[in-house]
Amino acid sequence: MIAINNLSFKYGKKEILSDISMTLEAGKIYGLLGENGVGKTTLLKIICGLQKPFAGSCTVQGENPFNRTPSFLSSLYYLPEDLEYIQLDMSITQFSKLNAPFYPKFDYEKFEIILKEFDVNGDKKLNKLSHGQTKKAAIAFAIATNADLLLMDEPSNGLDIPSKTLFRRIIVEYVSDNTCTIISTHQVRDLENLIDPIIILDNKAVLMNASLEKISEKLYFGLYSSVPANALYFEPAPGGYICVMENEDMGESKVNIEALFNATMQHKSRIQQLLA
Amino acid sequence: MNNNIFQFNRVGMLFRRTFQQNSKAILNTALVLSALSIFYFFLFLYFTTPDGIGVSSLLSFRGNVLIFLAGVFFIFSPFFYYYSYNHPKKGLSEVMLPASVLEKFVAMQLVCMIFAPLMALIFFGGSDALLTTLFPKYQSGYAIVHFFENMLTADTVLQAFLTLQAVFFCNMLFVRRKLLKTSASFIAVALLILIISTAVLGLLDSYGYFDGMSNSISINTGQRGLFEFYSGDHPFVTFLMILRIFMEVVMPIVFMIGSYRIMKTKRY
Repeated sequence: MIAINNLSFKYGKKEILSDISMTLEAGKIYGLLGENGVGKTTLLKIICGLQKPFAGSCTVQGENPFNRTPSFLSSLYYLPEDLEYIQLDMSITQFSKLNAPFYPKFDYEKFEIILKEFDVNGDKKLNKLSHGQTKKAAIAFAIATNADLLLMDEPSNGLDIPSKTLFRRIIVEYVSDNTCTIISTHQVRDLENLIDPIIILDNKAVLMNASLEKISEKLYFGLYSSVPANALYFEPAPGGYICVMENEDMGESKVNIEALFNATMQHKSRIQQLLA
Repeated sequence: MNNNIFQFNRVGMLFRRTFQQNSKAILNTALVLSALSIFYFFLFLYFTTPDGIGVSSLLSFRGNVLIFLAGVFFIFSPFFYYYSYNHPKKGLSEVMLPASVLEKFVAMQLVCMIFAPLMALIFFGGSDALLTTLFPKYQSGYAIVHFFENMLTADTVLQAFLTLQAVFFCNMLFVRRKLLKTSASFIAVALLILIISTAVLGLLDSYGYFDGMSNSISINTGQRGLFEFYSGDHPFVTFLMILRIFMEVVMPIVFMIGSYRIMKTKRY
């Protein structure tokens, strides 16, 4: 679906991404994690054709995104973090009626259902909605396009706690099975039980691109009353310490994404070696 | 043509989207234009004698107001309809819309070239025509006829087209403070042309270049057709004619190519 080869990107003289390569497949929900300013949004913008790589290539279904052809644009939806583009003097329903015809697979029924689930009134004007409500409307539209590629930049920002839970459920329930979804976030807890595989960007490079299955095969996540000697990473938690260790025939464990992220940040080369 | 490059269907959808997105502003403008026409009707009614003497003399004023309005609507339409097109955040709704750059460009050009001036003609000119038809004793002549008689010369149309394309280009080139930067650019270019032409003409005159040129020879090239060259013309007149073709034909094309190129390669 997406092939990125030796891609580099600069803003002026500042290098943001350096020689990164990876492939992303259809039917998966990728979690794009990384600290602020690490290049997550830039990578999404390159994939959707808003930016052009400085070197290397990025192709989506064999097409160069920067050509921005109608067929390419109708096969993807990019939901940016900032929703200024959608804050228009028209109702949500009017917005959908004007923009949906450009997306051949748009599902009006799905759009209405998601809005209802989010408890957003379609007759309300977009520029009169709160940030959270606008985000919900934008998410509903994005999913209803039934695009082959769905790019979401910090979609959980601005959502309250129940809405975050609802968001995860809606993604699982309504995003088409063959859609490649990439969700970028620095709030990893928001995407727990949703994303698989996980991509971690750090210091201009891809630190990790691995499935949860592979991660739990190589790393063990557990709650201990005291910190084991072989722990790669630990953090205090109610009842002891959440520890991340190399999985030496310890069986499978549930991946704690936040602990994984922090462990990866602390032991970059070791975890890269393990998951290579 | 390739489905991925141009489809009339998508251009139609872009039109519909532009109009519906701006429907409130369009409606308000229509009301203001119609009200302005009615305002002039009553204003002139107040200032003219009861038996209607002199009403026809006000036709040129109404006609000139229509020319001014149509000109303003025509020239500033890119700012009115597409101000946010290249905004790094607001512009995403336009750039990510599944239509080719060519389709977007054509739709935008047609809205600016046809729809925008048509607003003034329909709503100001239309109300004016209605009032003239209903109350011929108090208002005579049609402003819209005055418009077509005085404005639709090749030269005026080409000059207006050049200005529109220059504004369209500036609207694509500048991201913020567009009106200020566009005005500043226009003033800078005008000053530059003035300085260069004064210097060149002064220099040529000092070398006696114009000595053989009779004062009776008209160098007002605007009175001629665009490609109306004569073999007996003074070289300077020929130069002015070529300059006119450059400004009225070549430059608008350059601006159009420039705008299209910016739209095609703009990064967000």
